[in-house]
Formats: sequence, structure tokens, C-alpha cells
Amino acid sequence: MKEARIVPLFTHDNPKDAQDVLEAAYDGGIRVFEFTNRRENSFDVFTHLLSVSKKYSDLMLGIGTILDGPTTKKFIDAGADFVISPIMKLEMAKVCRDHDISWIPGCATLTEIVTAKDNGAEIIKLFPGSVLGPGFVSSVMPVVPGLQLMITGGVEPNEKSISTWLKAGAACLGMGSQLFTKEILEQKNWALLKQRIQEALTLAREARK
Amino acid sequence: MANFSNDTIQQAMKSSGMIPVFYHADIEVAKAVLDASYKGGVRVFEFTNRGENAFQVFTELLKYAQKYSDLMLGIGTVMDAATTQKFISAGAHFIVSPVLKQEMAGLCQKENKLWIPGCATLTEIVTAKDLGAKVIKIFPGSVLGPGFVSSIMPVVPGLQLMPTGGVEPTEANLSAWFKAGVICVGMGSQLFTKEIIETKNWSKLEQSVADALAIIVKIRKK
Repeated sequence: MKEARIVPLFTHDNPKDAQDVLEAAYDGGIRVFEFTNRRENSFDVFTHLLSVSKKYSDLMLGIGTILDGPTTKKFIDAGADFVISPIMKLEMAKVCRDHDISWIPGCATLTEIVTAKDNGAEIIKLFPGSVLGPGFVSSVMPVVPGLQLMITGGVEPNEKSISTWLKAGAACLGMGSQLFTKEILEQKNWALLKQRIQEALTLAREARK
Repeated sequence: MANFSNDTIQQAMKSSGMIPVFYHADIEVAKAVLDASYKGGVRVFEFTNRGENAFQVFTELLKYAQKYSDLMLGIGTVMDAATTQKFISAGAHFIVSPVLKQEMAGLCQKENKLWIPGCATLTEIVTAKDLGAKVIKIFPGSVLGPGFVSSIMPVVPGLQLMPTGGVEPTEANLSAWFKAGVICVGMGSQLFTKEIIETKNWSKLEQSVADALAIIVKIRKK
């Protein structure tokens, strides 16, 4: 994930469109992809994506917006490579540990972050990024060195946003609606999506230098 | 004392859109503020447990409020189960807290009282929801901002949120909160200004309350 720098997060209720997005993201250079569990048929679409992703030996496909233990178990059994949550719920930590799957909980205070770390989270999602801001990251990093924070919510695919977050110390950036714009999805403009992703990855690489 | 179901209170919070949050050690001032708020259109009122004689003032206010058959009077700034029990026994219609404390959840559930805990992160909010909170207070509103609400609403749909702290009775501020998806706002010092209270300008208070409620009606029509 740290190498990937950018993790797209995406949901769609149409399996074909979701597949096209996953393929465009892969072609654009994405190797870690988060599909979010926000629709009624998300489980079915996710299992479809898992079968599609078999052709990519180096793509990690995880599930996001998971809020409890039973749902965590269901998606792990289906084959999710990792589990992301907008909250820090300890019953999820246990399920992930039992299955040796990476648990990425969403935290918004240093107390939540350290609790998550103590319960085995190696990567912690900071949410909502837009509310906490890069200043939150630069404040907590010296206090608890070695934190691997993934920022979600309000990260924009432009040089300023990407470089500010990475320079503050973020390990990687989650990017959703800012990348998968309504316009791109409505027009099914996958070429443009691939290009946007390439640009964002280039910006992230440059910000790291 | 009139009895209101939790659903009725929740519905009244939603339909009025604004809950005054107020404390005063002087019962006469508290009565006057309650009257002015009621006349201005308020039907759900939160008195806060912030002074030594808050319990005494609150119980007297409850008695006084009986003349309004459709006024719901709850207690805020409650921090533990023992205090929750004391105010429920006195007749509080609902319980508001600035914190998320599990022992209060259990007690309110047992007593069938609406428990409105204060939360500041999505983890706290979902924990509160799992503990049975139907309405959740977002505190401090001024720190979290409407952006917090709009970020979390798509992630956990159906949340019933009420921000408190720093909510201003202006169209710009109220519209930002309601657009973000809150069901109502709590308003304290911005409404009950020092000046109004010191000068006991109750007609001005009634007007300010009516204005704030009118702004909310207007925003919701958009």
C-alpha cells in the first residue's frame, strides 16, 4: 500500500461498469484497489470483481465500508485481500486476525489510532481526511513514530493536495469521488479515467522524492 | 406532567429543526426564557445541568412547563448514570449528554427515555447507534463543522444528527448544516446572548427564536 501511494475507493451496483473501472485503474497503474460495501448488491459485485481480478497476479482487491464482525467474515470468506472500515471496531480486528487478513480501521483521534495499533492494525485509515486535515497527520506522526496512515475523504487528485498529505507523513491516499467523477462514470469514459489515475500516481511519485 | 413517546420527541425535534440549549441559576429567568422560546415556536427545549442548583431549577421548570401541553423539556450536560436516573425520576422527557457513556445508554433503555449522546468521531457515532441511540449529538459542532456531517452521511446512511456548539442563527450557517444532512441543531449562547439575558429583553428573544425557526423553514423549502 505504501508503494502504491494511491488506493482508489469505488462502489457501483453494475458489475460490468465496476469491472471496467477496475480494469482501467489497473491499466493506469493501480495495484491496490478498495471496493466499498455501500449498495445492496455490493457483495455480488465484489465477488464478480474478485473473479475478474484473478487475471492480475499483482492486484490486491479489498473491501471497504465494513462496519461489523459478521460482514467482515462474509467478505473474507469470499476472498477479500484486506478489510477497510470507516470506524474502529474491535470485533473486526479479531475476525481479521483469525483469518490473517489486514484490518484497516478508520480513526479520527490519536486515542482511536493507538487503540487500533495496539489491536494489530498496521495501516490505519484517517477519516474524514477533509475534516482532520494534513495538520492532524503532521501533529501525530512525531508523537507515535512509525504510524502508517491512509487518508480518506477529501483527498484531491491535484499536486497541492497529494503533496501536502504525503509531506505531512501519510503512507498512502485513498481517493474516491474525486477520481471517479460523476461525469466519467456517466460517460463511461474509461480512457480518461486511466489517464487521471496515471496523473495522480505520477504526482504521488514526485511528491515522495 | 405530559408524557411523550420517544418517537414523538424525535419527530418534534425533526419538525422544529432547532432545540434551544439553556442554563440559568435563577428560576424566574429560566421561566421567562422558556416562555419566550415557546412563544417563538420552540416545542423541544433542553435545560442544561451546569450549575449547582440545576436540579432544583429544572424540577421547578418542569412544573411550570405543564401549562404547555405540547412542550418537551429535557435535560442536557448529563455525564453519568446516577445523574441520569435522578433527572428521569424528576420527570425529564429526554436526556442529552456531551459524551458517549455506555452506562447512560442502558439506563435510558430500561426507563424507555430518549438518550442523545454526544459524539465526535464516526467510531463513537456507530458505537452510540449500536447501543440504541436514535438521535446523536455532534459536539463540538464548531470544531467538526458541516463537512464532518456530509463526509459521514453516505458511509452510514440514516443517521439522525444534531450538532451543538457554535451553531449560528444565520442563514449561511444553518443552511450549511441542514444541507450536510442534520435533522436539527442545538443552539445556546448564540441565541441567548448575554445582552438579551442581562437586559431581560424577552420580546427580543422571542423574535430571535422565531427568526431562527423561520430561516430553517425557508432552508428546508429549497
